[in-house]
Amino acid sequence: MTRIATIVIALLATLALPFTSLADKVYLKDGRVVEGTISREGDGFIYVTYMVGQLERTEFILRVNIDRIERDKDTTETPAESPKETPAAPTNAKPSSSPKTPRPSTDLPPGTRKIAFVTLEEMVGPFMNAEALRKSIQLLEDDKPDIVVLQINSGGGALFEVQKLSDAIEHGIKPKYRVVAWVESAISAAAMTAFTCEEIYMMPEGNIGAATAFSQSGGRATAMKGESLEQLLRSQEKITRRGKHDPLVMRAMQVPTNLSCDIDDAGRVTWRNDLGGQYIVSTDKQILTLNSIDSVKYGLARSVAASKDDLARAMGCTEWVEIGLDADKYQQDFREAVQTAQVRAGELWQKMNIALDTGNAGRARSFLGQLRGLVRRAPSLETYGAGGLPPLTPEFFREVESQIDEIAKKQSGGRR
Amino acid sequence: MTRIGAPFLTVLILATGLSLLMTPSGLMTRASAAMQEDDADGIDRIVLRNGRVIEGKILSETDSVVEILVIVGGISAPTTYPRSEVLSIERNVETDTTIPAPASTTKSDSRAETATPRNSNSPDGKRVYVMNLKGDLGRDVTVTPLQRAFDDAISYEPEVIIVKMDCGSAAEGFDGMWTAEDLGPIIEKVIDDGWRVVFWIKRAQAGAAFLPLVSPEIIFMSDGRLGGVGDLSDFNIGDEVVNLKQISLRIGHAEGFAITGGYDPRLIRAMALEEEWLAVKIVGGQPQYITWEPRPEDGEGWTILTDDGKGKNKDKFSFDGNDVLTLNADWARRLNVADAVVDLLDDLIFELNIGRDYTIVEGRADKILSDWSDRIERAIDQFQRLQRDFQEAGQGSASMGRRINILKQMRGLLSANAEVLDPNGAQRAQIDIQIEQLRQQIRRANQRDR
Repeated sequence: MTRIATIVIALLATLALPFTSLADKVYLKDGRVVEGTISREGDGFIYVTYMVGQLERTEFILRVNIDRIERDKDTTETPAESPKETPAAPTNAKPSSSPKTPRPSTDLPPGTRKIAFVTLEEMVGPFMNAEALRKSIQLLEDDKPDIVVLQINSGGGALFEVQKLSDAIEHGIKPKYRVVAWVESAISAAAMTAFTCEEIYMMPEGNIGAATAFSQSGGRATAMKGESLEQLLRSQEKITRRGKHDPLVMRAMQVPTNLSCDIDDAGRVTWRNDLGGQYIVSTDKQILTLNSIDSVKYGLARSVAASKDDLARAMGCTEWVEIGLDADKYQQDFREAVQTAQVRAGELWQKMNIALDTGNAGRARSFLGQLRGLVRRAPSLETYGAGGLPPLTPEFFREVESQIDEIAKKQSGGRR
Repeated sequence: MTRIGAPFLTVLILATGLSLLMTPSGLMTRASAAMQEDDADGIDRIVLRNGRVIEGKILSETDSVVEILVIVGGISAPTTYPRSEVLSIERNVETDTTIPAPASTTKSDSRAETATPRNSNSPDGKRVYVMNLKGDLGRDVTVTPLQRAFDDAISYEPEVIIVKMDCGSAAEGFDGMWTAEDLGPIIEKVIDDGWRVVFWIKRAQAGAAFLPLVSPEIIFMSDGRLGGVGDLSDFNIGDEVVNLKQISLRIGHAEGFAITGGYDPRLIRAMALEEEWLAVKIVGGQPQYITWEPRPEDGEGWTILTDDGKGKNKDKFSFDGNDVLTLNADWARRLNVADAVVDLLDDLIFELNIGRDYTIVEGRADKILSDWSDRIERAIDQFQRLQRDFQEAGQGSASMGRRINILKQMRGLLSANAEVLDPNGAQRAQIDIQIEQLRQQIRRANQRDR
């Protein structure tokens, strides 16, 4: 969706266009249909004016985001600048930037900020994955965004991925773009990741915290303890400092800790690891998770934003345009591929074993090939496995293949 | 409907520059203080060209921008709007004279205010759409039927959509919340698009207790109940610290519901956790809370809503005690969760200020929801019958084809009702494995026969 959410209305007032009919339909690539009057057009953009109640509203739309336009005269056109492009499918290959449409940056009104939204969702590790994030960021290179918004909605996951995600943000994104975390839910490893960002904004329903590390076996959990925990606390402290947040806050999210703070008249928050402050934020009988209001109150987040418009405004962007849809599409496709793999991998593995049990090596190889296909589409399986299987590395596949060969050899020998 | 303090509340305005003052009665934001001083003069209202109305106190104006102090959830922030966005400014608009409550005690109408209100201007007056949510969230009410029900409601362009609720959740207790999280966005979107959605509560239990909180407007029936989520203190996954983590993240999610609709998140903790104290004092029509046992220095007039549930405070009967909070109509009204308590639709419509000129829309929502519920019930029955057939089909090679056939039927049922019966596809994957196993057995048998 491309939108400048602000001032274009003022321009319109001077154009004094007739709004007697709402006949033009603009079909956007994100599925929205904007119905109104195309009130102004340029090489790379259009303005559509429509009524919201008694008020006129005008929306600025880049042609690259338009699928087709149906005019009043019942003609349908596809924008010349908008060749149909299929977002890069997630593969191990480096994403190609060549088929991307040139951005009509010269058509943008002066001062317009280009914002890319990249969603990071589901389990940290297999789904919310550093390598996948790097690929999304590569896809942004031609767009040259001013701001990259990492839209986080994750209940946590693999600790192993946190440092990699933090490094991807710190070294891969921050040097090029202003980075913002926009949190719907950042629990555990996702919270740890979000702390890399200096600028955190919350959705109204947002939450951030509960970053206690634990392992689980047979339905029973065990919190991390001893030297492993100390190491984790130290490494997370470094990540927290990357985002210029107070490590005491993250610590209270990781282990039961007394935490209070004072807030001065200017709104500056001073944290203390005892209960002597003006506000008791957490105690040694709690693990801290902050809701959106408290995140802002205690200075972890800068503001609450319910929509992209709200967020842009909160970030100080009066005029903005969304770019880099394919970077997020990559994330969506990636997650879908991992999701499929989570269900299918175990099934294929069991089917392969059934085929081997019944002496059908050819069929077993076929299932193994399908399993390989899943990994090609969801490369994070190489690290995290799926469906109860260990990491699905090339070595794993080689090993299994040689075992199939061996079994096949024995079986054919037995038959002779 | 007029709500105390509501005009000050919009959702977008938690910007930087938060400034806090201490007063004898506790923390108060700069905005609250400013509002109180200026209450006699009313508030200022900025109408933006996109239809939004921002209310608060104008701090400064230049040729290019207007700075206004607004407040949400008890937190204030100055927000600046370009002149070019501003359609009009009204100053010193008359409002309720009640002083907004200190931090987080006032129900916010943020969602309703940020959306552009829509009107039904039908020849037969304003349209009122009523839908009944019955049964269990996650089974009788899931994403597909709820979305369709609201799509139908919106197609009539009603003045208000009344959601009459008599629901529990398929998952018992607090963890029913996860189902409500799937459904909440549907209603949030409807409200964000400018439609007025009012929940009318008969029973909102377990996960269903959270869903109404996404709307800023809740009405109770006189025997209405909202709660039944007080089992979170019993959470046990085998490690004390991990339990704390799991409880914390669940509370974090649940508070999100309350904040979305503009309710005090402290109510959530009291509803969920036995050990949480919550006491209330109504001041100027607004609830003020403390989260500890009232002490002499806290003054008089506190009512304990929930105690710590320990020792002599432990409830004898969990359904009628105060270890956890379950809202009845009386308390829901007094705590400003409910705007009114009514038992009849006519009375409800009167409370909603619809006027006399209205029509009750005969929509399809109830049919959509009941059809769905019936369909799921039938599917479960059918699945169980197929399971019996499968077991009775016998183990011999002669029955293998029949067993595969039954498995395929079971798989088809799961696919057709995946949203409830097999959301992540795991059961279908298991069936596929069983089918493969049978196929290989047939293949082996055929080889033996040759």
